[in-house]
Amino acid sequence: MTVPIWRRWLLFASLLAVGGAYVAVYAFFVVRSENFIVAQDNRKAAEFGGQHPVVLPASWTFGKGSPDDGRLGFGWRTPFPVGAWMAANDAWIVWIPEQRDADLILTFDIAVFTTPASPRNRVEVSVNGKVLGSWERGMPNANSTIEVRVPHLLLHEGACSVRVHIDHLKAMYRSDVGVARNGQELVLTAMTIRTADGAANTP
Amino acid sequence: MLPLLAMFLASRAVLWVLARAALQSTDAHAHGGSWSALLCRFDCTWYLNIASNGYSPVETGPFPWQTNFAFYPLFPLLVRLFMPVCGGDALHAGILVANLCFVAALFYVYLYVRELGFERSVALLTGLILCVFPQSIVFSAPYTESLCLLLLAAAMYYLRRERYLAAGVAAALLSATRPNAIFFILFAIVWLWQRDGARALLSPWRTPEKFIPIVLAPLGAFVFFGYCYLATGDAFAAPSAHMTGWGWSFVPPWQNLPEQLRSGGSYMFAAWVDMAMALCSLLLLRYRMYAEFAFCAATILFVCCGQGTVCVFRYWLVLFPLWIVMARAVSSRPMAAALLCALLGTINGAMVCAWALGMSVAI
Repeated sequence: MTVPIWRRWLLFASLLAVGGAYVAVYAFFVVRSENFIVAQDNRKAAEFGGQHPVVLPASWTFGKGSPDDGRLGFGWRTPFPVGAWMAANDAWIVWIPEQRDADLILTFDIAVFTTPASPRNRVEVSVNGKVLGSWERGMPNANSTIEVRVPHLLLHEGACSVRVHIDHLKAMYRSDVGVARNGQELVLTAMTIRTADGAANTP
Repeated sequence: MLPLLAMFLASRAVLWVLARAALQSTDAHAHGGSWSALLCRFDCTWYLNIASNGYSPVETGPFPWQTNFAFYPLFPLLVRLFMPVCGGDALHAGILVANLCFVAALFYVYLYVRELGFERSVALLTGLILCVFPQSIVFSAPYTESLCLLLLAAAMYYLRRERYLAAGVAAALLSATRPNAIFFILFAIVWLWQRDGARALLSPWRTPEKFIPIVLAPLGAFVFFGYCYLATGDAFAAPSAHMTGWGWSFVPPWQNLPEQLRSGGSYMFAAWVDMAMALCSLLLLRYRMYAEFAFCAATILFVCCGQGTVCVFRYWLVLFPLWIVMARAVSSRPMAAALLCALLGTINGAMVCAWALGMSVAI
């Protein structure tokens, strides 16, 4: 029994429509989706920031039980009294700036732990999606602070979202493979914010 | 059907006895030593959690950022459907669903081997290999493997029988079961090309019905993506959870395999098995099973790219075309067939003890 031509074309058109719908829906998903775990943690930090306005200059310390830990978004863990340890290659600190008409200087007190196999690591800081600098760290400057100047134009959005990125990080899971194997860590002990009065972002 | 049932029952009984013996040889039998608890290890609790409570973005795993969105929905959904039959108990429902699916899968694999034109002995030997293959305990545990095997075998079988709608429905369900199941599309495309030539593939309006399985295959995954988007704002919540909660990432296999080999332990073991599977898949080419080869090769590549994934044997259980050609290769030599099954069975025995004791090599 042969299938009528119109039925064949109808089926073909239907399949084509379904295929087209996949492409459209997939594109929509790609554009509109963001990692929900990252978004969820950063949203909590932003809510904390909304309840605790920042008065400049500000100085925060991080570690287990610290009241400033609420500003830590996704990517940190605080198992010890001193320091927030990066647990993902990208980690966020979120707050709501009250003053938006002047550049800010952010200072990060960090320690980068490296290994003899890969003695250097690269740290990158961005604010609200704009990369503001990257720094090579390892001995002998593993404990050097990082200063970042944030142009006031970046502060016009609601929350100020600081992303700290590190190239290699020891996995906190059993999946400890790759160049980060044997332990590479970044610990952030403190962070200060002040209005700008000079140049920064020097590696 | 009877020999398949006998293989199923005998293999499950032996595995259960070994697991019990492993537990009793240690202090572990005091914790979770009942027959049903014995089958609930590792990811089982995630599936049961979804079946009982649904999906939740709340982190409930032993590590930060682990949520049950990492797991595909069809198996827990079936468990949910069967829970009333088991007095509302998710674990028993999960075991029931998994075992029913495994029996049905053995049946479909048998039919598939016959459809390929191989002898009955090859079909039975393939069933036996599936029953004794290392980590085949997960076919009876609340895991997705038995459902995945069933739907994969059914989709491939119906496609070869030219029952396109049935193949499409099975493929759509398959893509809601495990992420790598989407590679069925490759199977369908290569099968079509092998059967009707490139012209049929490039002019789908001539015989559109042959494309029904290809078009329907991603449907299950897309429904899940849509649900994830509505629930979390992240359509790709499953890969997000894998990456952030389990620390998985994709790297090229030529980087990943050497790293795994250097890492030692389960990683090294898994890397050796990955390479052995890649070699086995070449047997499919020898028997001109190009469509099956496309599916298996894509799955092997997918697994080899996963940095941080540590399953040694579990991912390979569902690649039944490999076991078909292996069975075909030894079916005319009874001694070789017996040795193969004995070797697989011995490794399986060790793996089921590791499973019972919760050792990570059996993940």
